Amino acid sequence: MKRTSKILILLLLCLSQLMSAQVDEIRTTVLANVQRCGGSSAPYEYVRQNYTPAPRGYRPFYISHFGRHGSRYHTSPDMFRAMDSLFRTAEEKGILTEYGKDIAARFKESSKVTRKYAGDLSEMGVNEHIGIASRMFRNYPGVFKGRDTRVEAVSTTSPRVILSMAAFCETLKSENRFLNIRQQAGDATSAYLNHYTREYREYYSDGEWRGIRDAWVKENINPSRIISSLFKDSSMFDYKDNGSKALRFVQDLFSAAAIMPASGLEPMWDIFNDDELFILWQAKNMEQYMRKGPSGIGHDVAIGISKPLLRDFVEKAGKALEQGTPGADLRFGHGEGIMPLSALMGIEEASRVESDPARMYLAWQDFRITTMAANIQWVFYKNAGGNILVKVLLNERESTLPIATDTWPYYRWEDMKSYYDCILK
Amino acid sequence: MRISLCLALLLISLSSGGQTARDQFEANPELAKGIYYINDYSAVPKTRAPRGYKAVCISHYARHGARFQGDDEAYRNALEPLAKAYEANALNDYGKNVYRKMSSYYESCRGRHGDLTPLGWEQQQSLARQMYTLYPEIFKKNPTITATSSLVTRCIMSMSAFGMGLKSMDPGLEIYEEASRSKLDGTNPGDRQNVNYVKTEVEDNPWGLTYSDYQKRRIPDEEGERIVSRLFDDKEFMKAEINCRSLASALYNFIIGMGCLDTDIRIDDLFTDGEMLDYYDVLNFGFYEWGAQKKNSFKPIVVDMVMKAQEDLASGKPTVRLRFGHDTNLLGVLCLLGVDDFAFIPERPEELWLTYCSWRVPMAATFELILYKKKNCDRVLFKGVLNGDEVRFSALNPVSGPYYDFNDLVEFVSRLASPKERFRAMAAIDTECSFSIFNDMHCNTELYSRLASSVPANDDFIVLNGDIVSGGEYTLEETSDLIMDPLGNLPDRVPVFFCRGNHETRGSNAKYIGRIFHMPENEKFYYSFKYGPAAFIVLDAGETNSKNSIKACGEYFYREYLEEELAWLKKTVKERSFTEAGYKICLIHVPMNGSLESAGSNVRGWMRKYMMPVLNSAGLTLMICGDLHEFGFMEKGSAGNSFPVFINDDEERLHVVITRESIAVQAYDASGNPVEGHRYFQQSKGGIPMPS
Repeated sequence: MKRTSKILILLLLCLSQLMSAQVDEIRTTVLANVQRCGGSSAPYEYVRQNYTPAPRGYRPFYISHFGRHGSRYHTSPDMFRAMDSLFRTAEEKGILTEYGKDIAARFKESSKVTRKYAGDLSEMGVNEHIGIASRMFRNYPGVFKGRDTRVEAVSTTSPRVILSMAAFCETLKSENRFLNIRQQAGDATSAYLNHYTREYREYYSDGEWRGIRDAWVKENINPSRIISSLFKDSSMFDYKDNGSKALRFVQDLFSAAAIMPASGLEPMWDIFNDDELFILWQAKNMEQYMRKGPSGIGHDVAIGISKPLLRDFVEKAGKALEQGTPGADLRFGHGEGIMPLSALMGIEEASRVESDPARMYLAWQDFRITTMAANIQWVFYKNAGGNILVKVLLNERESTLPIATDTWPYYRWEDMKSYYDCILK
Repeated sequence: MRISLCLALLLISLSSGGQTARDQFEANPELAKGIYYINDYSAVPKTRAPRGYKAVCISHYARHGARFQGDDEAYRNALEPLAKAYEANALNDYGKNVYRKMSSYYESCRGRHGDLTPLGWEQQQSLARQMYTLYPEIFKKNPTITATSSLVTRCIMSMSAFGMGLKSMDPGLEIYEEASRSKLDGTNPGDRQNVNYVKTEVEDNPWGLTYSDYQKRRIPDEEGERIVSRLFDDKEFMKAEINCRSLASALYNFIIGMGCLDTDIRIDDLFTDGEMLDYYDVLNFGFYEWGAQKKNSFKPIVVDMVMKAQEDLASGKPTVRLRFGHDTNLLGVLCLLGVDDFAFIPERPEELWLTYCSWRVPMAATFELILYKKKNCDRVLFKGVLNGDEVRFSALNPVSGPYYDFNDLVEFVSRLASPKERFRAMAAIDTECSFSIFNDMHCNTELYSRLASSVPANDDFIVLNGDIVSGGEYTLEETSDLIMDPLGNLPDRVPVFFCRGNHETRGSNAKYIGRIFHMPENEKFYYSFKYGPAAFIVLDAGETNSKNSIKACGEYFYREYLEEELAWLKKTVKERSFTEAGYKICLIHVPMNGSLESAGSNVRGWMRKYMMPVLNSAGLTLMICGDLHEFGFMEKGSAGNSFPVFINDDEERLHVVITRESIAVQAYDASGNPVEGHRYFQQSKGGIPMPS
């Protein structure tokens, strides 16, 4: 008995060591590139890849893709406007510190910009899609070779998404002007690219995730250092409300900082120290994970919204295989597409389930999955015998699926199809 | 004289144009499909540019390509009554056939209303290829291509299609595409999402009729009944269950939209050509209400098309600006610019279709201003092209065939623009410059408004040369009222330039005073601008009262600020726009009349010591000041100045007129009479370069 306890304690110690190593690793990764703290607001991060060569005799001939719109300005002008007005009030009251005055001036400037461009694709967003399209063309020239090769692109009706599609397609056209590219956007395409069900809308606006997040935030985030660095006193933040106004403020401040790089604005990360960055990132990550990811909270209502999208992948692949000629199906949408779809597909890093709020960030990290211009590509290969293999890329990284294979990251299409058919039943 | 000439031209064109419209409908009954007409875009502009002229800029506005009906009701309004009749077996064989065709057609449209159709996509691609082929002198020279679109999906898709079309001709072309709430002035300014949205009044209908009035007046009930009865066996059912008037109208709407999908399904034979024309006439009248009568809301598009082209021209690079929007917007643009007979108002509404032709704004309609330049020649020509046809501008005089002087267009359009835009456009082309100056009003609004009431209508701008208010604890709003109200409607017509006076540095709101003039925040009160033959430098002495200054910054005057200003001045007088100007004018409230010895403690002396030499060597023509509350004139060399200094009285408006030949300055009293002796005149020594 004694021995067992010792082993148990040792085991627990090992586990906690392991866990703290994982925590350290994630913290280091997040802080190594501060933009990652932005998560779904962060610009796209492409890291040069060494791709696994396809098994002998297999050549790529068809790509099916989904991409989130590129970097954009904050979707509403209100956040920057509210920050600007809060800092103006503080300035008039004379309670800003020197540093606070500096931040106030920066908000004044950025608010002028965001007022005009709220929701727009930024220049960075255009360039992200140009980059992804160029690499797609370069890595899989066989898919885009020849005259009249079919490329069909669809988009939701949001201007930033259509413009992302346009940038992507024009890049392909620049590489091969004989491509037969057809683009479509309308309610009919939005219906499966952005399939918001009533349950999802309800869950999104007021699901149980909200209470879980609020409780965690209250317990883990301390806004006092940030506030005292900006304000000479905290009179603007009424502590009678249990500090929730102050908590809201630092989170909004973080959200504003998070979107600035994607908007091409001078970032404001200097407001936060490393501990604050890491904890505020966790809060945001947790929110995305519960609202749109596979956390298991809310009975995965969010994952379900990507079923029509997955069905579209499977059906269009069927048609493409039937035709047998090179080509591509491109889709452009939102974060509400990429997060649920990558989870539903079972992509390893995007589908881990964790319902303990303290451990969510260990299971799922938004900056690996859903930055601006985040994308999923299914690259189809065939050999002379007509056998089909598929490689799945998440943000251009080779992915692992819950399907057996001897040729990772290449999966037999029949296996993939039957796995997904089963999910879609 | 000019107006009567335009009128005469219009009348001539009406007779020929009217004839043309009838002929065109006879030759091509498809035109009766109006804004749904599918133009094959085979027409191309044919008149060669005058010798030596080459196309350099294209400023374009296009309607989106072919689309599905704007809403699902447009289909259902026609289908549902027929479905009821079909089920009741009330239709004849022809009617059943029509119904089946319509149902089958509708299947391809369900859920797609408002979207661009594949044909629309093709139209824009092929128009892009056509543009590329027609203007190699632009496209082969690596032009700057920018495209902007209304936020409506079919327009953004049209823009994308056009971009793909250009890429298919030259994959190396770089096209910058945008669809933003901040760029709607050029495409769809009336969209409430436009960050610059301004509500505009809809003009009254010239005949006092609404669309539905005209519909009732133009199409009798019997006509609808006659058309619908062609589909029915059971006339009793038809009379009891069907509103023939509205069904006939819905059928017309359904039929005209069918060409937007590339199918063989057609039911054109339901209407005779004459009936189609009747319905077209009514719809055309509707588009008068939605386009021509709302034309004021489309002014920003015209201004964008012309002013941006002017900027592009100045850049010296071949440029293509593409815009994608809507039918009513384009109709408004054609009216505002007086293209062909679009702006003509006939005596009777029944004649409107002959001059105001909504079929000329069909799916993918394209209107372009093409600018032409000739080597070593300042005159820029342009022509307008609507769907490949060269057009006439009824308010302008042509130079040759369809080619007009671009400066005439800039001048014409500047009247539609805001004071700021008008100023910017005219500053580059005007050969003369006239403006009024006020100073030292010190809140005397009664005198100020009397002086302002005599400002000539053709003044290009107003200068407030300091101490219009006296400082003190006014709110910004009160300060604004004191400065702007006495000017009446002048600020709506012309820009107001503000030169800060010493009193305007005082009071806690003083730092915000620039907001009244929409000056950028934190901006300094010194700046430069150009207008026609003259370049202006506006200087600011800051506070002249040493006690106040010491309180504000610990020095006798705003030394640090003035040192920055001096550095800026040294740089500015070396800029080409200043050195090449025919006249160089400095506007400053406080005269530089202190003694050199006082330079350490007095701003007037400091400016004389440090700023005056810079202005002397820059070859200043004239300096205009205020501050002394009495008229004064400093001859050249009287206080180290190598230029004359005119000091305006505090009870007079100064009026300055600069022409190629001379500069004339005259003060006027509150009754609008010239004040004897308070004047200055200088003949040009020749060689004054004029704006090109």
